[in-house]
Amino acid sequence: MSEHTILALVSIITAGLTMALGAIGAAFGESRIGAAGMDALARQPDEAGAITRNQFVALAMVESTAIFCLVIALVLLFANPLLPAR
Amino acid sequence: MSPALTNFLFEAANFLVLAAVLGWLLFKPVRRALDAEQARHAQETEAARHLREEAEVLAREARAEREAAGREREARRREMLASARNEALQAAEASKRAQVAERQRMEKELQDWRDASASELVDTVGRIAAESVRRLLSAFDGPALDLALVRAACAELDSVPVEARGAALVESARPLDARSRTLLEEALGGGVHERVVGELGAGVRVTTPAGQVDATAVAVARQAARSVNRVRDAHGVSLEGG
Amino acid sequence: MSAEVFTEHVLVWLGPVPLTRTMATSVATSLFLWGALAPVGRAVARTPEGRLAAAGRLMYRFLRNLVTETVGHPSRGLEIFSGSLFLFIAGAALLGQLPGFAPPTTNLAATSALAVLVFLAVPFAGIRARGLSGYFKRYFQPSPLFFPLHLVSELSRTLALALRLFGNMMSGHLIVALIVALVGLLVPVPLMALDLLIGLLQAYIFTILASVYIGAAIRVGEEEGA
Repeated sequence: MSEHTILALVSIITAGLTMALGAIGAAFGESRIGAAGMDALARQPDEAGAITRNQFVALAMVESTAIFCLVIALVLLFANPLLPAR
Repeated sequence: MSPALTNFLFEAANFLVLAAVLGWLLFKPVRRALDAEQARHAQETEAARHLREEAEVLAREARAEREAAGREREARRREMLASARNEALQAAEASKRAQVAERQRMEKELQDWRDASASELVDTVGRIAAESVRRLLSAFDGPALDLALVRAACAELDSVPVEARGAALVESARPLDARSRTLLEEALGGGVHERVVGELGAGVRVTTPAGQVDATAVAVARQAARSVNRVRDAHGVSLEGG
Repeated sequence: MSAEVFTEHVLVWLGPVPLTRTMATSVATSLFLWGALAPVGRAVARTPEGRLAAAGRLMYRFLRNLVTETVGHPSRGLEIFSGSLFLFIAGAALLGQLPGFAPPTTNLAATSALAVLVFLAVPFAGIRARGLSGYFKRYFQPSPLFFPLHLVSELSRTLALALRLFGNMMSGHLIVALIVALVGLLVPVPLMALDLLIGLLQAYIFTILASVYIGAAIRVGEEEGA
């Protein structure tokens, strides 16, 4: 097994792990935001617009971490600086 | 130039151009249209508000007029009511007064009638009484009556002062008998000048300088009638029903 | 296609200047928006009763409300900037559903360009609203110690802006491409719908975040002035 093959293998495994672990945190965070948003909507239906807007903003913020993980996974898969360019 | 850098710069420029184009072709006309619409809405709202204010002023005026008219009507009604009540009161008063006057008139008429009938009755009674007395006296016609009348005349003469008794004139229906003459001479204390007057009926009439003593049947009858009249005059209404 | 996640696909070299595929798609998007929205603007101006005019008015109201609610007061320049951001990203997501069309927002350089524009628009709007000193006071706001934190915050949020848009659009595009490669007809349709939804949502989020950032720069000055 060559050095490059090991690096590629580790990169692929790490990319999968990155995506999985990053998605877990984002999923939990987004679920809590969704629950809180529903709660707020049930309490104050009149403020639906503001609640929905702020909820989306918060979701985007939390999702950023998952997106960062995705980007890192994509970097590991497609633009790995340790591997020679194909 | 690296493709990434070129791409980056081109992308930024592209977006700025796009923003400028959209701002010129989309946002400006839409904003202008919306602003114009909003301005028109504001203007229309203002006009509507103005109209409503005018309408409210008109409504207020109309309400005030209506209230004034209502007040006036009420005043007129009250006035009419008061005048009507006044008239009614006056009419009632007048009718009452007329009634009272009528009753008074009727009462007076009744009274007059009563008085008239009473006096008529009394007159009749007096006449009847006088007639009765005269008939009675005529029935007693004779010396006894003459004598009794002479005694009565003598008794009356006693009240006449003595010094005025002289020169008395004695009139009688028939010539005086002895006893009567004696009595009269005693009463007069002097001579008796006699005269016969047939129409006296019975009795004597003595005329002295101080007065006349009438003791004839006619006088008695008249005396009776006068007494009845006196009684009637004194008691007036009490005679009614009698 | 697997190699084109981060790399530029150069179509042709015009001397030293490369003409990439992303440049072509972004120009196409811009032309599409121009061609689609210029009639709308004309319609609003000329035939206010038509459907096109109603659609344009609705769209404009949506964008203006989006900006006004985040900034607190209407701002003409910010309306155009944020509205164009939304329309560009949404239009790119829409065009991305065409077969063989990779939206310009699946390119990291393109999204970075947008994020950097937002990053530059923040001091621009702040200085225009409150003046130079009025704007820069906010970097030392609770205490001067916070200056590096403010700086890092601005840089990191710009990075996050770029990466979020890129990651979302790229992942959607990639998944659809994968499914198309694996299965083929009709199966990727729900995923394409999801991709479109995510694209529109990202356009909304990108616009809102840009408005919030720029609005914060404008508003800080107002609070100081108040």
